[in-house]
Amino acid sequence: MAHRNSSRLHRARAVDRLVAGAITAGGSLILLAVAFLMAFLVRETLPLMRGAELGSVASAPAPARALAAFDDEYRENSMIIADDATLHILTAAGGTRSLALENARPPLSAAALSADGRAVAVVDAEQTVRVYSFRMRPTWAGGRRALEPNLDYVDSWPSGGQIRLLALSAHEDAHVVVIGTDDGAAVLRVGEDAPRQLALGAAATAAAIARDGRQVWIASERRLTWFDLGAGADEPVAPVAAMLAAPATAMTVVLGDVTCLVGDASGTVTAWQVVAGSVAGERELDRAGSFAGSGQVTALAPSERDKSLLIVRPERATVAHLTTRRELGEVPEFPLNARFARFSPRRDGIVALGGDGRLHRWSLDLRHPETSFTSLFLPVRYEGFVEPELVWQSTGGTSAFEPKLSLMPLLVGTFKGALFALLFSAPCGVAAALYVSQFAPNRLRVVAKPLVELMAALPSVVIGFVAALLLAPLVQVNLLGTLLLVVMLPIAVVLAAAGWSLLPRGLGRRVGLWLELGAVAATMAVTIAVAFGIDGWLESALFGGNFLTWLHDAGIAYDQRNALVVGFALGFAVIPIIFTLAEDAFSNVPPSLVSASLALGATRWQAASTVVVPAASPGLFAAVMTGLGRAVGETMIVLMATGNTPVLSLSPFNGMRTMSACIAVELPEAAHGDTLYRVLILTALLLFLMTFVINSLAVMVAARLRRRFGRLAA
Amino acid sequence: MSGLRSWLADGVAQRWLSAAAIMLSLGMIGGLVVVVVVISGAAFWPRPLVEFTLADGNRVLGEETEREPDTATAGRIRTRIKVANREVLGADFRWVPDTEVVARRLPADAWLLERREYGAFHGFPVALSVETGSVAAGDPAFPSTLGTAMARARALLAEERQLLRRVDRLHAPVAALERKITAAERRGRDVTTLRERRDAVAAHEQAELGGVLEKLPAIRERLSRESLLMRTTDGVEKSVPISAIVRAMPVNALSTSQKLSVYASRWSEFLFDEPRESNTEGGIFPAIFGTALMVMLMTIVVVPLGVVTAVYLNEYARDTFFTRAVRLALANLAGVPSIVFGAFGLAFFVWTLGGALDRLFFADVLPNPTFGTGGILWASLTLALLTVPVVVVATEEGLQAVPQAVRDGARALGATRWQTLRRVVLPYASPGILTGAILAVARGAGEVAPLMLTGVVKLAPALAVDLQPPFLHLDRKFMHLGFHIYDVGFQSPNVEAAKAMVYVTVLVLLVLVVALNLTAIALRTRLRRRLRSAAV
Repeated sequence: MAHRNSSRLHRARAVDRLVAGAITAGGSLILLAVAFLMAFLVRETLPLMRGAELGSVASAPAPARALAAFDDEYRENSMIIADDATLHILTAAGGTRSLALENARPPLSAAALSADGRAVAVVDAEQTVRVYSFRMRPTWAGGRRALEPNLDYVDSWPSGGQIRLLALSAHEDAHVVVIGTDDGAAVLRVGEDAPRQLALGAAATAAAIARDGRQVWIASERRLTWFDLGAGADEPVAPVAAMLAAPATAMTVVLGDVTCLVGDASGTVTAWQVVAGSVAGERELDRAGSFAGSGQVTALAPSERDKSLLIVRPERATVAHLTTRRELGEVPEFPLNARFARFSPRRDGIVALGGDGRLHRWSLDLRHPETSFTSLFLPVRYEGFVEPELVWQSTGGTSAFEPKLSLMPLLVGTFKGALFALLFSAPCGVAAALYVSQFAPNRLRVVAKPLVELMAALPSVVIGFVAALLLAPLVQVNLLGTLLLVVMLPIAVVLAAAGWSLLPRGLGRRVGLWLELGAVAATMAVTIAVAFGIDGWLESALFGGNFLTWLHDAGIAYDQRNALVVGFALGFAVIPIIFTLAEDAFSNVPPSLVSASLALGATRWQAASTVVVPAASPGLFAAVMTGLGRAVGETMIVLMATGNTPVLSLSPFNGMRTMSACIAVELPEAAHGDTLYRVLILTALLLFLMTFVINSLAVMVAARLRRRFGRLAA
Repeated sequence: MSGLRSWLADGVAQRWLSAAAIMLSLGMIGGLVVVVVVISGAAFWPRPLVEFTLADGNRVLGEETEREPDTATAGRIRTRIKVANREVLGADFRWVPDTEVVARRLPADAWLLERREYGAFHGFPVALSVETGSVAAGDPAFPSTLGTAMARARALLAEERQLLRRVDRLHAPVAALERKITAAERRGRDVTTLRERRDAVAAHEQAELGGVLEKLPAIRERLSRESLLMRTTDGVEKSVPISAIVRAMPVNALSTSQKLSVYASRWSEFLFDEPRESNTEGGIFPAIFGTALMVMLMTIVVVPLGVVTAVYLNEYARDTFFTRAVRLALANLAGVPSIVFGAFGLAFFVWTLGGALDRLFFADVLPNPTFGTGGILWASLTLALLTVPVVVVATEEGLQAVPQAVRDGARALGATRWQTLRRVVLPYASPGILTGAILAVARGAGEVAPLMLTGVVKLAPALAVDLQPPFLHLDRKFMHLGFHIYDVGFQSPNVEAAKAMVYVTVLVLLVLVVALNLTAIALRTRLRRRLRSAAV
């Protein structure tokens, strides 16, 4: 019996220790969860900070004298065009295949590839330009994919003289070739016999053609000229020219056909764009950034996936990105005096023909080249922009779209919304708390606190819905009245209070607080009625009948869903938070302090303003900070009640997009692991850190307050 | 001057201003509730069909929805009329300026048809063609014949649905075997026996299926045979299949009690039926169900976690740096924006955890994700993380209400800490725990932003609970009341037509959240009273 009892006791003790351990572990779980949450978000954003990764894979001897080389989409085969008028294919398995370039007489003197690698142009021994189309057709055999090359002759043009330059574009199988001649350049189009002469008055030194086959950029020494050839029935536009700082040595057009890159003898690569000129209807060439470096630029190659580019110099090659104007890294072990270099189609590799007569291949992982600290937080000059700007525009219709991922519009939008919300809710919440804790009749206090708590519990989707579909149109129709009300309401209340004090003292005392509250409510109701009543009259008297039209004429844009509406709706959500915390702070002030103050002859207001408010001020600070934290992070209200346009404007009549709304709208669409996904996670992390700082501050201040009153009460 | 100073010192103006602030706050919440209740309360009441004769001789039959000053012409009032007949007129609504109206009347023979497709139909019945023959609209037997025809159509539709469900059920074993075969093939195993079994099951399916599919054309033929010929107020005749009619009524001739029954039937359809017409009509049952299930799953996770944390902080831990860190973490958890939890839920639960689960257990259906996409499990877990502080705070309050003497008494009798906790402290603190659970549920039911990232959809093809094993499908996407409001109110192609529905959804959500909160408040008030008496 005793034995059994002691074993039960042992078991009870063991269970007790086990449970204590489990509960301690469970309690620590929260801390772990928060730490893990932050660490995980950091982990997801870290790749944004990491640079490009370039690894050398292999080099192989190139057959004959190679002129150009490219990879297929899967980087399985490398194609080399050699001067023996043959397309050599180095297969993944290590074998070789050769396809003859039909009718071309060796030795070839030049070769060019279209940007998509689906067309080849060569100049043969007779100085004839020949164009071929090339395809790698996937075939399926036994569940395995094999690539079958297809080389087809397209067209040829005999040329009179020596061909200096060759550039080719293949847009929807319309092949356009640009050749450099002694006094400029000529354009050859399939189906047209006669070349179109582009006169420069001097020999071209570099040329590039856009993917659309319409725009041609030609440099002759220090002069850069842009031609618009027109498509079909379109009239060609007059050429536009600009002067370069040094003679051009290499050119290419970045994906999107907006920017032309010019590499020069001094080693600098400059970006050029066509912009509207100072004279209406005219255009001019504008320099939109540059990449500095030493050593003449011998070749430039664009990526067909984004705005990345490859800059080749005699002794080195670097990968850079146009949006960030940043060099991402140097290609390791790059051969000296490379003749040709190119990205693989998916921008996951580089091929180059070295001066050593070998074909070199690298694998490439650029990670997130389009973002940098600069592009996230500072103005950037995007393609088609005249000057650096802060823009958020994450997705476009085509792959040529340049993502504009500046967080500034979102940050500004977030704080604009929070500011308008606090402007309304901080005074309102604190004043309401002061009234309830210091002046209110007891019965009101009992009712008001749970009611305000209920207000805090209202789902934000409900507040946002009512604000957007009911309040926003109402404010738009009665905009002047609303603005009037904001000004008139406090004034009217003060005036009515003055009138109230003029009542005979005895009467004022006798009627008590409830009647006073009724009078306040009546004053507010009358003010609201008056404000909306004189709205129409004022509009016709002062603003020519319609305030909105007047605003529009005054150059102030008005969105129906704007910061004013959001401020009100967000304020609705924030008031209860500020109220509850402020009320706690006020009620925690020891009553002995107030009693002492009253005993010394202070009025109730003097006691409140000189004793209670200063004593509770850290708590009020904590209340407003917590309210700010909520306003910054609130999602559904801003999602519904702002237009969600990421505009950078501080006007109360404009909408905005906040960080939270942007995450809610765009994260579900973002592919896991891509740049937009990581930038949005970074946004979430920023939100987390911001609210973390704000809340920690509030918690610490509140703790200090508790300690102080602990002493006072003792 | 001194008068002003003493007046300011007296503080009447300041008192009035602060009173105005609390009145404004209370007015705002009251205003919001009243607006929602009034608009949504009226949404389902049958409105009269008004026939307007316009100056150009055209006629318009519809419900008056709102009147406002014409922005184009000053001083002119215009009325927005819901004209329905979407497939005839192209739009549901039409503005009519008062100046163009020549005559206005309430035709007693105008009928409102609520249809499964194309929205409502306003018009005058001409004739009803049923299996037994044709009945003219003037015939006294018309309403009852229409009623029986509609009941018949409903029964046939139910039968059709059941048959289709049986087809699905018959195919399920074959589909399961097909999946097994693909999985086995991928692993390079021999699949001959599996193939044989599949063929046997498929043959059985074909045999059964023949009998089922045979019945379908007959039902569909019977359904297509009965229709109601309607004439619009413009004189266009349109035949409406009986099976397409949900409700039919001569609105203007209804008595109050008939209107009440229509009102009640619309409410019950709203609460218990599936949505139609891309969520702008029908009911919101899947959204209510999804919300409830998600909140339940969340509660299962959050209550133990929150209670353990509160017990740790209150009963086990001393005030150390570590516990202060835990409290700071809790305060931050409460203050971190919900969208951040959503982003975390998507990045961690869905992509990382779900992706790993898929690779481990559902590799045979990849690249189609099972858990590697948003689902009700991930949404509940995300919300659980979000609502932990709510449970902790309420539980702590409950624990603090337990008098120290009770604990000391239990320990003095020889109980271990765990025995004291389980037998004495926790039962005593149970109202606090319950309050915490209720508040967490209320918070979870109203939260939308994190769900948008972790698995809510505008239209879920199937509920997460059904008769297919394993009965509870944690990987399924779900519908949610709050998201329904956002989606239908802002993303719907026909926002104007859906507005009334959204207001009613808002009311449902509001009632749910307010009721939960009131319960919690009442519970807590009782608890606080006990706390006060315990302190004495």
